[in-house]
Amino acid sequence: MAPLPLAREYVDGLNREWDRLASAGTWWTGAQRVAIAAVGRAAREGQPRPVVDLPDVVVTAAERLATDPHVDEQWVSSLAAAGLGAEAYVEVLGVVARLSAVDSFMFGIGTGGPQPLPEPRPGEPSRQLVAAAGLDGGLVPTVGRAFAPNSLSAVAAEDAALHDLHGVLYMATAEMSDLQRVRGLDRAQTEFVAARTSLLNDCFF
Amino acid sequence: MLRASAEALHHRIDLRAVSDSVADPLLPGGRELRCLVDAVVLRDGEEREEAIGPLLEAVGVEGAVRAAAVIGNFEMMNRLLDGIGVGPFEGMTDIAPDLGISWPPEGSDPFESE
Repeated sequence: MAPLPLAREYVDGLNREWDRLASAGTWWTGAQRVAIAAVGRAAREGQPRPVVDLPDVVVTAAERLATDPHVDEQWVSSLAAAGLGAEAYVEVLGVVARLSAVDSFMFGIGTGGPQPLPEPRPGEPSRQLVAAAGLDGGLVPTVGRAFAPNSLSAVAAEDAALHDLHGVLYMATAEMSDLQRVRGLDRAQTEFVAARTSLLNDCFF
Repeated sequence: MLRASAEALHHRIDLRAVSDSVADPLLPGGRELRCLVDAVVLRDGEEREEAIGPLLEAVGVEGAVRAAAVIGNFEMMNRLLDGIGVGPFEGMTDIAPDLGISWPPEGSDPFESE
């Protein structure tokens, strides 16, 4: 069966995500971000690890976050001791998590395989810190109490990317209180899909 | 959120169907939606092919695409929450019976702080 056709808003949102993935981020270059995505995807799909130019600790982080993201303080601390600081870790997490969203979406509509990763673009990481971020209930700094929606808030560009993709695939934060809104599915059907997905991931979100 | 949205829309819903693959969610297209979720999260291509036809009949193309999008979103959000080390919210104890799951998992206290 052919893949299900995507409305423009989905196509535009996925193109924006691919543009971001290919471009320099806050702590990693475009080439490194695409390499992180390749490592995460291969691990998630049970494929051999690709040959990439990344520190071993980043490969370790990407593989774990793609396959078994239930991490603890000891593990995150071990990454830091090996040179992967909290903000750089947050960017790895963002890249891997958003790729998992795109790949699952594509699998669901029946593309038959993941989309080829984008070609990296030149550029240097901005290294911009978020002064307001601090440890507040999570293992990495966040702006406010740590929870999924602000999980990447220690890296402003990653936070913005998360909210953009979340708005495309689910709903914008401003729409959350409108329980009557129908977008292909009604809200109860939508939340049922969300709940089942979380259950299968052993995540009680 | 699931219970609140079902009540707002005057849907009947059996929350146990979130965890029980046999239970009828009572939602329109509920069984078919659950089959797609299982296929996508478990990356089972054959199961996905079996799921998509009945799902299209139940919710149409726009609904099926939306289901795939929501699955993708929660694959992301689950990973983010776990990846920053935030565990279950404390209200889990109250809603676990409605969802048909054992909570907390035997031999553990998910809210224990060291």
